[in-house]
Amino acid sequence: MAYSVLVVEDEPNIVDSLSFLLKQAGFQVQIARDGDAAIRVMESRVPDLVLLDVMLPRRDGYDVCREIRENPAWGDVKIMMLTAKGRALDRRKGMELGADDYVTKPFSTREIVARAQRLLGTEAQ
Amino acid sequence: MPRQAMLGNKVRRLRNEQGLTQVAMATQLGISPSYLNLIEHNQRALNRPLLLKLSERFEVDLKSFSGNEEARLLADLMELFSDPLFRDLKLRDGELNELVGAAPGVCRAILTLYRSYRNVSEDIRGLSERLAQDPYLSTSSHQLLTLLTSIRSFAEILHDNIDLAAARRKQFVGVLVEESEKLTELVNQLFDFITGDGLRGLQGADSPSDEVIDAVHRANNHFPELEEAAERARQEIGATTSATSESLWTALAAHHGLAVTFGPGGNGAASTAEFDAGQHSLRLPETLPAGSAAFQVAQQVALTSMAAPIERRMDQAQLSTPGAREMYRRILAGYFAGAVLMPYEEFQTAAAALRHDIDLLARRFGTSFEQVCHRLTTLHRPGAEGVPFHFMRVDIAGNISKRFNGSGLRIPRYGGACPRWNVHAAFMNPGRIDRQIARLPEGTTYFNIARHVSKPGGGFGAPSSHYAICIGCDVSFARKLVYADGLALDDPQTAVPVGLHCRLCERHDCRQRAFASLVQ
Repeated sequence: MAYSVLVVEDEPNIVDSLSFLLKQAGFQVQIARDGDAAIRVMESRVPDLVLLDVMLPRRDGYDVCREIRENPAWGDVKIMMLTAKGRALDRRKGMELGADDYVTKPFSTREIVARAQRLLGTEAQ
Repeated sequence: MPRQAMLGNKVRRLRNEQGLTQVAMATQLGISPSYLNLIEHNQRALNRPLLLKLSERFEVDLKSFSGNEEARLLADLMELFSDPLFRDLKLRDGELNELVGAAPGVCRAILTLYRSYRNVSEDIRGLSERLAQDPYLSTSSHQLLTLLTSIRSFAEILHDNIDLAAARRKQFVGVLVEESEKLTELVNQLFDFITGDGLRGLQGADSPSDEVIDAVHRANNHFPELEEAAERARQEIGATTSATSESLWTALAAHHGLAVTFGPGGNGAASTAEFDAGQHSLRLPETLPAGSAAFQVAQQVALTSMAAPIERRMDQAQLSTPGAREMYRRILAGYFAGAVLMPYEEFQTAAAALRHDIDLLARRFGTSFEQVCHRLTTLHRPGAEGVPFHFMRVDIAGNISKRFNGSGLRIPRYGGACPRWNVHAAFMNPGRIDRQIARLPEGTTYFNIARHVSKPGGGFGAPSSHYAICIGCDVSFARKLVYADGLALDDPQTAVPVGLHCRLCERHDCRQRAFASLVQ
């Protein structure tokens, strides 16, 4: 069965490029444009990996990461934060809140796919 | 200078206005020319009978001869010339006095100019700090990085997928073109912003303490070579975890051939050490607590025995004045001392285990509350980092005398901090630790603890120094602190809305605002 990835990002072009490459790599892709939508999607189908932008409308990605980690039912979900906030301090904050990886913009989408495959521990089917 | 002494200048001015020689005026006043000369040079007082004669002969208003105005003008000028701006100016004795006497109007003009300069400098510094958090720059940098990510992503897709369907290829090329246009526009806007008049000349001259604070921040307040030197120093004297402060400094002093003596502390100088280079001896006030004595001894050992690594750090910092270099030297020596008393690995382990209970850490390592807070801000060894803390020390007048922005909180460089920060309230509850969840206007939330500390003056009647210490972190790290227990960290209602400084704050409805905001 293919691994599923939830992309939480409000920039349409980044969503398009990530979706294209993730599907090409064999992942099933779901999309949410903000934090509340991401939680709703997860409540209906738990993904294996969340690609989580930090600068989201209304609730930032740190807040969403905290909520995901507080839910024991989502303990196995991997979280990769995607952000323009590149200070070491911001990275530490993300990792402190339970992110498994933290990638700063401008990132390479090839790299994102490779990191996703590494986080999930196997080649995507 | 006594007010009467200022009258000599007034008498000379009056004589000059009347066009009289000293001989002529002295005759009219019934005194000798030599006596008048002494009066004009403030060597003799202008007594009341002479004052009355002056008033009658020359129709002078007695009130104008009170000397009050000149005394005030002289005091204001002396304050002006104590500004570090004039640090290289050597005024001879009496020069200001002569200036006030000869040209009081010019002195008032100088004061007006200086006050304007101070106001403009403050505004510029405020604007400079404001720019660092400017929402336009912050938004633009995010937009820039997002556009670059888009362009990079689609360029990679097009490069890696030669047999992409024509419609998809056209779509992705279209995105590339569109995003490139947006990027061009954004870059042009940023260049306009950067080269605009509003930014010219924003950077004023830094004071020595500003330069040193910047140097510490560039090093992230962590100096690996000093940490290693401290560990070696402990090994050399066989210091163990349970070593008391007294045994530590005694062994350290003996190993480095430093003679330590104790003597009466001077008035208000209870924490001042005196080093005699010739005798290689250190004299400490007898009122100094053992932990502070150990710190002073370790700091002196660094100053005398570790010149090379300290000089290398100072050279790297490229400080512009001897004053800044000397200040930085002492700070680096103090860093070494802190690392000797609170060795990195043991301290970091204890801090985590005790959940950053500062009083327990101070007791365990024989140091003070402030020293522990300092040390907590230095835990940046790669792979073994502690909680990223900010730290500030505020005096009872609200001046921030020490600061470190390790958490990302931009503690104001100039002027006092927002009056809502709990560091100020700490003075109202001496000995108690005050806790606060503070939210900035853009939403970042910090957890702060603050406490009043005092440094004794040295004996009965000697003035003490009072400070409030604040240490805090981003609220995401707060659960690692014992002080956060029982607080609803996630509840937005418990956070106090704060700013950084009134002049930079957009909370226009704040009832504690002390200054008008530069932010619209």
